[in-house]
Amino acid sequence: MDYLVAGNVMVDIVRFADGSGSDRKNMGGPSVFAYSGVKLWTDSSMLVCKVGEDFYEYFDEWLEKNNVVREGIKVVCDYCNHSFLVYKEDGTYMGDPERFTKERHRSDWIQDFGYMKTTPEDIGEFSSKYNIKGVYLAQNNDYVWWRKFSEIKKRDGFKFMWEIEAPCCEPNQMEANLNALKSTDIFSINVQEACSLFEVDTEEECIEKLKQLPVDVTIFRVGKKGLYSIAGNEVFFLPSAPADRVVDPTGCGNTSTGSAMYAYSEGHDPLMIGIMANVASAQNIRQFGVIPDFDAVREFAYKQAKELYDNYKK
Amino acid sequence: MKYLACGNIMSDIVIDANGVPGPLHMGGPAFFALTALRLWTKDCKLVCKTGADYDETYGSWMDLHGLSRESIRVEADNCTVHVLKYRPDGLFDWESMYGYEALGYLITPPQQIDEACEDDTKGFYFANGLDTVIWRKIDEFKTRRGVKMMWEFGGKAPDGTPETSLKMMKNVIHIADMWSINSAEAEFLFGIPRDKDEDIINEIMKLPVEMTLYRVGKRGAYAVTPSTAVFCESIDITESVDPTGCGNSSTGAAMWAHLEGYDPEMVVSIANVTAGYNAAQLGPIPHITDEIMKDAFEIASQKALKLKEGK
Repeated sequence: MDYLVAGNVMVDIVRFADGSGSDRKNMGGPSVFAYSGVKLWTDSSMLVCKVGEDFYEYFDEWLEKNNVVREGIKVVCDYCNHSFLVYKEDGTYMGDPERFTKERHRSDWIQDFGYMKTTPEDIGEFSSKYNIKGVYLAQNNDYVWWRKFSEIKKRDGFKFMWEIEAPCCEPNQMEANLNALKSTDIFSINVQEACSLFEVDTEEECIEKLKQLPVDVTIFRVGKKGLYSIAGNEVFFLPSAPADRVVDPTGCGNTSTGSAMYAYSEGHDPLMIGIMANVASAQNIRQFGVIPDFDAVREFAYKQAKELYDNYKK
Repeated sequence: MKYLACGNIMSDIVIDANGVPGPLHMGGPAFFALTALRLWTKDCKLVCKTGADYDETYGSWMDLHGLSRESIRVEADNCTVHVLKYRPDGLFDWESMYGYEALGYLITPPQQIDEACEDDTKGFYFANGLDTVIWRKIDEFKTRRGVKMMWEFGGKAPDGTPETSLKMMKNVIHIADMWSINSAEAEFLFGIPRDKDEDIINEIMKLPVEMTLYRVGKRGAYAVTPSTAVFCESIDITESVDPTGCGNSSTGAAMWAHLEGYDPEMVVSIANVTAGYNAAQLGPIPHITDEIMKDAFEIASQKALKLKEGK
């Protein structure tokens, strides 16, 4: 086993700004999307997550079809978090407050989200068991969490991709973020989060700030335009990879981030890391929920990544 | 340790009915239950996940009372802080200062209680909801370890309806040995007005638990068993200052009393004496000396005797 993809699982219903959306609940959540971004390239990966007992109702067929390793999936309560994502015109989204009050109290939902959050020990259980190359997690910047995690990382020697969580992107969070970055090898943040964190207005200003962070690579996601792969003073802008259809962008950030973690841990250069992130994202956007069949698209993904890389190199 | 107080600890800032905020106080269901256990026995400990800053707030109280910290797990930066806003009817609304996700992260999982149990553990207090997976895990370790559980009722079914909540409660209550519920919760759950004590008690008596502490607010509480219900009015030790945590502390004390083999009169007296001590100040009883423990037992014994005489 080479890769651990940890974090929360969600079951999503999506509604776009024009009123259209998914007509059924889809697999989602940061860890599942990020896992798909790794699984696209390799089967030597596993999900590490805490879930509700209804997880298998939504995920079993997909797990079975794709031979997903189940060892790291722990059932800890009745229900996965079911989220109702409402997209705004600018492409950002929020939970539907009406659905929360109708179907569940928002505070209960968020408490469950916390109850199912990944602990450092959850990761350590498997990073100590297998010779893990890389780990992905969307996480906050809690000092205690990172202190425990850094001990596990030192012990087990894997590379770590931190996808920052939105609440940590307030300007007053910088000190705690820098503490977390001490244990981070590759970092992922989107443009809204970066603008908020650095109190700037443009991508260029964000890039200048991101270049100064003490990590090997940063994936700076700028929505449907694509992403920047930043490694020290090297900055590559990589437009979104072409997709044969565009259905649902939910999870593209997590998927590309997971993929970047894989590419980085395999030793690819920052250009290829960004390309593989975009290729995974292009697969994710083709349907509601996660990539349904990895075997069916893996060869294409490798080919597309190589072609894009060759083109950029020219 | 013989007795465990399990679950969240939460510091409180109480805003009174006039909107005036008070200072930060130690609190939370498990902590209030711990203070209650400590009023009657030194053989108790706290089982919780909390923030690194808990020591600043709780450390000296824990040390003053010689309490073990072996089952306290520091998992985050901040201990949960709740802002409690009291309404004129005596009930309160609350908000979590560090957010509900942080609160959820610090919820005590069954596995932690299991790990905290020792060979001599007789019982544990746990304020818990209706989640069936959590109950299944509790059932598993309870059966394996032979410990008893006081369930302080909390939460509703995911759909928020009384019907589903009642059904879910009935599906899991056999796993608990003792139960505690207040009149507002009972009104919601059974659909019976909260002033109809007899009707509510009738429903409680049908439940498969050894003893229920049915709390009726300022009026007092009942100790209910399948065959009897004993009412005890509230007991003021000194002037009542703050009712926060009285439900948790009386519940923790009732567990201790029941598992020590006391009869319902003594169980409910001990519960109400505990609530009286708890209400005498903001936050927990500041210093439980051996003398206070002795006094509390004496007051409870006299009250129980009167209850028996009044039968």
